Amino acid sequence: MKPWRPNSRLAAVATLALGATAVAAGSFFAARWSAGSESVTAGPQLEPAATVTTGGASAALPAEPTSFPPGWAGPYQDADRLKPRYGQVINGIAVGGTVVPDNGFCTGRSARWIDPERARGTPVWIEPGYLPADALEGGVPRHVEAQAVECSAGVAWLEVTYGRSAAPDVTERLARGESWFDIPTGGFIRILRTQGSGPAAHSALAADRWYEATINGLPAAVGRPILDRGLGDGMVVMWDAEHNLTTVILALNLSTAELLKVAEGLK
Amino acid sequence: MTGRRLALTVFAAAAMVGAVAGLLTARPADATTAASLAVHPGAATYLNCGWHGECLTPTSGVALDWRKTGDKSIYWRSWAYAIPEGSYAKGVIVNRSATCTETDVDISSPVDYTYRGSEMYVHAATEISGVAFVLTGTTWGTWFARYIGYTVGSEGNGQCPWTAEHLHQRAYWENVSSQSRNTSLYPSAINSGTYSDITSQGKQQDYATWTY
Repeated sequence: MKPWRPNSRLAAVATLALGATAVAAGSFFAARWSAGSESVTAGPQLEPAATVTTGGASAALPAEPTSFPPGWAGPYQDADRLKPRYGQVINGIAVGGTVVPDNGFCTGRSARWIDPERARGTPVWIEPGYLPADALEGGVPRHVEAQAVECSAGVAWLEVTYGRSAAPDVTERLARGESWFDIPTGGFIRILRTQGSGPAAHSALAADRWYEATINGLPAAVGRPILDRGLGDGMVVMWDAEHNLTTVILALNLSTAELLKVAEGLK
Repeated sequence: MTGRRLALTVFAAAAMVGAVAGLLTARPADATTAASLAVHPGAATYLNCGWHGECLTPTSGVALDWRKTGDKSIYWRSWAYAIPEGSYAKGVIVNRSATCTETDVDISSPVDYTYRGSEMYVHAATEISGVAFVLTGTTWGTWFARYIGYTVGSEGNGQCPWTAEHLHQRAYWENVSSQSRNTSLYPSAINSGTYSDITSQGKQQDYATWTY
């Protein structure tokens, strides 16, 4: 049997094809590399989806953040989550996870949703005198959502939510060294006013974040966000005994100072 | 043309084709991440009431009511796409009960940078408020499900409109490019029905896209 010998022309074509393929592949990856595709990591590099952030055993907050890599808020949220959340009375106002406000105007199952506009002119109507700039668009409150409930004795509560816009270049500004707290990163401000529910508000804030205050001459309980500069939920509860009105302001990622300005601006 | 010249010509052409293809498929240094998030119903498969504000006296709105009988558990369920692939968002479970019992999942993307919105589960409580999870997206879609809380058997003080145990679910979006509700699949207020495959693609309740 004769040994197999490749046809010389076939061998030349095959060699040419292999070489061309190798050159093309080399150029392909060289071009991608030179364009920076391998060096770009626009998204955060964190745990896979199935990983749950569980936090440590200590309830003490870490020191104030000075840098903001992706996931920077996790340790603060974890530490806060481990704090106790019992019911307590702050400045005559009951707050906490075990607090159930009075039923006030609502007896049985008389509560029903109504058009929020029907709350206009009633004691629960909400008109903020101050909102931070990122909650305004063209000078008017941005992205408003509202809901209202009426019971047998009248409009029982009104809730209005104001959205806060974020800067489009948060990632770039953080990379340049700006503080996360100095950049608009979005969030919301929700204001709830109820009639007949007494000096009480259900709250999931850690017990040690509450303190007494007087706002617009009314007794108030102020619940700081996790970090005063504006991480996590913050809350203000004001009690107007004369008008039997409870006002609650809940805001995500808003500083304590701004939260108080919103409360002070409420009519 | 000699064999050597032919080979040089072919190699040069191959190099150009390869380089052009490489440049066309490369991401520039200032490339953005494109994310899309589809959030599915958090409860069981029976829809008590289609898109509504309130169902007893039907008003148009952005929430769906899902029946809860027996199993009270509520789950975050989502499909996510991200280009490039990676851990593009974080969800934080938050007890945000006020007049009604409410558990929210706050979404930030990039993680801990920009608030994108909340999926809101009304008449649902949670014992794991503050727990967070990271969402990963891929170009072909990634499914993720996680227990977040449970429906309540009564609503506290009677100021919250409520008649029987169910999940009232809605979304609130901020800082997104687009948002939508699955009005083509789920009906308007009052209408109900069973959706046996609510975890399948296309059976989402709420949807949003954004870039960063």
